[in-house]
Amino acid sequence: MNTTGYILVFLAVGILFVIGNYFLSSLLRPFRPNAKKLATYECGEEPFGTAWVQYNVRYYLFAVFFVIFDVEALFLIPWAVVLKSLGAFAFVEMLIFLFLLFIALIHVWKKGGLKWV
Amino acid sequence: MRFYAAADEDHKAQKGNIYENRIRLLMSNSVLFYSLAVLIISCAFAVVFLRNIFHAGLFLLGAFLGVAGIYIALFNYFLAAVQALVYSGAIAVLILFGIMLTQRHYRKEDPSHNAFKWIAFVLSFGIAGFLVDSFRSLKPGSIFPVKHLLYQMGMALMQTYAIPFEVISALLLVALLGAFSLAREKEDL
Amino acid sequence: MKGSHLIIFIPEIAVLSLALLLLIFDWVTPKGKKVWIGYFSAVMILVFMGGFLCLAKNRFFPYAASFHGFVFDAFALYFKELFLLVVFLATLFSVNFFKQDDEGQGEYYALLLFVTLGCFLLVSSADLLMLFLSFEMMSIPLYVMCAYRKKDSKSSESGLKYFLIGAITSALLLYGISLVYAATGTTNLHAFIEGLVSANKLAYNPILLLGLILMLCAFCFKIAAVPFHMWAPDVYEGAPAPVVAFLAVSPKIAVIGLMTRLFLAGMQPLQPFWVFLFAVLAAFTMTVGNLTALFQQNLKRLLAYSGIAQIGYILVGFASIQPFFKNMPTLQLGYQAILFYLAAYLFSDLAAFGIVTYLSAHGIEDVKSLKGLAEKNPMIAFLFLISLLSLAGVPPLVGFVGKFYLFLAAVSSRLYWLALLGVVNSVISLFYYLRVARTMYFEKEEGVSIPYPSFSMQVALLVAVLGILIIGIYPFMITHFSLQVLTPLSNVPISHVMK
Repeated sequence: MNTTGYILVFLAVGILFVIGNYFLSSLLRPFRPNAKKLATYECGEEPFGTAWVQYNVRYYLFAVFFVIFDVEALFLIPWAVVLKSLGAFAFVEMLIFLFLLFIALIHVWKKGGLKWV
Repeated sequence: MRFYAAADEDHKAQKGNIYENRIRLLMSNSVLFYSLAVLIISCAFAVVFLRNIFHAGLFLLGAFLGVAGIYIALFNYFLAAVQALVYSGAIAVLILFGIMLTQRHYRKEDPSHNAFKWIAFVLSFGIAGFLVDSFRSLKPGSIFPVKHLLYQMGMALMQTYAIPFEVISALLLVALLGAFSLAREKEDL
Repeated sequence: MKGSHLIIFIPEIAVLSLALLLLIFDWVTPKGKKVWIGYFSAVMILVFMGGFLCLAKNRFFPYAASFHGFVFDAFALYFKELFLLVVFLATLFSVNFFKQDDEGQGEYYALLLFVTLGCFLLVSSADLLMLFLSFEMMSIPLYVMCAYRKKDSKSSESGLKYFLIGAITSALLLYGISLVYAATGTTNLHAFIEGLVSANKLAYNPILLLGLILMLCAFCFKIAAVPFHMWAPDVYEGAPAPVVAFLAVSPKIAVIGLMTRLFLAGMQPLQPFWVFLFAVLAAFTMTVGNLTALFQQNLKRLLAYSGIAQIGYILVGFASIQPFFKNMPTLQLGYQAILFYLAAYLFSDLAAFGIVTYLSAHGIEDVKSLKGLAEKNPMIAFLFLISLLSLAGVPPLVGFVGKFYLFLAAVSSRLYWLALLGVVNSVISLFYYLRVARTMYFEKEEGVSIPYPSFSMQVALLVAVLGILIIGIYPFMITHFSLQVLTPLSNVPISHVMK
C-alpha cells in the first residue's frame, strides 16, 4: 500500500460513510413534518428576510486583507525550511518581503482602513 | 518532514521489488488522478453553465479542492495545503463575498446570453482536442516523489527566484493599496 | 549574489523606494498640502532620469548583465528612461487635476510609480515567471486608477471594463506560459531561446506555437491591436484624463519593448511564421483604427482610436524584420524604427493627452465644444495642433520621422503593400486630425476665455512639445542612442552572466 492508495481508501471510506449514514437514517427515522419542525431554528431567533442580503463592503475589504496576509504567511514556510542552510541572505530577503507588506499595513491603518465603524 | 515519511517508505519498499511497486503506484495514482479530473472538469462545467452566479461560485470551490487533490497525487503536499488554504479557503470565499456585495443581481437568474456561444464552443473544444493530441508527444516526467521537496522549493524560491519573490511582495502591497482605495467609502476625487 | 551585483537593480530599487517614500509622506502631510507630494515625486523622477543617464555612461557599469531571469542592458535602460519621462509628465498632469483637499492623492502618485516599476521589470524580464509578475504589477494599479472617481459611474465602468479585459489578458498570458513551459521545460528565456536556436525542431512544436500565440494575444490586448482593441475607447472615455494619458503610453511601450526582446531578438527560428502574422496584424490595426477614428465625436475616444492606429504603425516595424545576421542588428531598420517610433509616440500622444486633460478640467470633452478655442486660448490651440500634426506625421515633427523610418523599413524588406497601406492610412488620419484643427480655428463661437493652464501643466506641455519639435528636427539624438542600445541584443545569450 502506498501513499496514494491510503488517500484513495480514506477518500472512498469518507464519502461512503456520509452517504451510508444518510441512507441508514432514512430507513430508521419516522417522517412526520410539521410547521415547527420545518422552521430554520427550532428554538431561538425567528429568521426574517432572505439569507441573501447585500453585504457591507467592509467585509470584502477584510477578506482581501485576509487573502493577502494569508499568502504572505504561506511564503514563510518554505523560507523557514531553508533558513538554516542559506543564513543571512535568506533572512535579509524575507526582511525586505515583510517590510513592503508592513508599509502597506501601516498605510491602511493610518488611513483608517482597519476601523470598523 | 512528517509529510514525507510515507513517501520515503515507498522508496524503501521499491528497493525490494521495484517493478511491482511501480505498477501499483502508477495504478493507484492514475485512479486518483482520473477521479479528480472528472471532479474538476464537471465542477468547471457547472461554473460555466450554471445560471445562478452564487451556485457557480460554490462549484468553483469544488474545482479548487480538486486541484488540491491533484497536488497530492503529485506528492506535493505543501502546494496541496496552499491550494486548499488560499484558493478554497480565501479566494473562493472572496468571490462569494463579492457576489453578495453586488446589489440584488444574484436573485434573478442571469438572463444574459452570448451571441458568440457557438464560436466559443467550437474554438475551445478545438483547442482542447489539439492539446490532447499534441500532449501525447510529450515525454512524461517522473511520477515518483522528489525527496525533500519543500526544501528544494524553498531553495529555488530564495535563490533562483529571489527577484520574483521580492516582486511578489511588491505586488501584494499594490493589491492591498488598490483594494483599499477602491473599497474606501470616503469620496476622494 | 554579492552586494556589488545590486548595481543592476538600481533603477528598480530607486523607483520602489520613491513609491514607498511617497506613501510615508502621505501619512505626515496634512490635508490640502498633498499636491506637494506630486511635486516632490516629479522632481525625484527628474533626478532619477539624470542619474540613470550617468549610470549608463559609467564605464565600470556592466553593459549587459543578468541575474536569474532579470536582465540589465542598454536596451532596458532606454525603455526605463522613456517610462520615467512618461511618469514625470503624467505626474505633472495630475497635480492640479485633483482637488486641493483630495485625500487619495499621495496614494495616487505612489500607484503611478508602481505601474512604472512594473514596466521597468517587464522590459528587464528574461524569465516567464518574472514576465507574468511584472505584467500584473503593471496592470493592477491601473485598474484602480481608472476607477478613481467614485461618484462618476463612467469612471467605475471604465475601471471595471479594464479590469475584466485585464483578467482575460492575464489568463491568456498564464495559459500561454504554461504551454510554453510544457513544451520547453524551462521558464528561463535564455535557456529557452538557446534551445530554439540549437534545435530547430523545437520551433515547430505545436504546443510551443499555441503557447506563443496565446502569449501574443495577451500582448495584443495590452497594446490594443485589432482585433483585441475594443476595450480601449470605452476605458479611455470614462477614466480620469491624466490616468488615460499614462495608460495610453506606458504599458503599451513596455509591452512593445518586451515583444521586441522576445520575438525579435529571441525567436529567430520562428521568424517566417511571425513576420506574416505581424504584417496582417499591422494592416488591420492601422486601417481599423484610422477608419473608426473618422467618426468619433469624443476627444478621448478619438485619441483612443488614433492610439490604436499608432500601434498599427509600430507593428509594421515588427513585420519588416529580416532574417537575422549574426552581430549585425545595426542593419535592422525595423528595430531602430520601432525604438524611434516609441519615443515619437510618447511625446506626441502625451502632448495631446496633456491638452485633453487640461480641457476636460474645464468641461470640454467633445470635438464640437472646441469651437473657437483658437480665440479663447490661442496657445493651447496651437500646442494641440502641433501634437495632432505630429500624430498624423507631418514633416518637421517627430511623428513624420518615425513614420518615415517605419515605412522605409517595410520597403527595405520588400513589404511594399504594407508600406503603401501605411502611407494611405497616414493620409486618412489627416482627415480627423485636421477636423479637430478646423473646429478650433475656423468655427467661431462666442464664449468666455479659458484660463491659462497651471504652472505644472505648462512645464509638462512645454517638455512634450519641445520633444516633438527638437527630436523632429534632430532625429539623430535618438537614432544614435538606439543603435547603441541594439548592439547587445544581438549577442544572445547575454555576454556577462552573474551567478
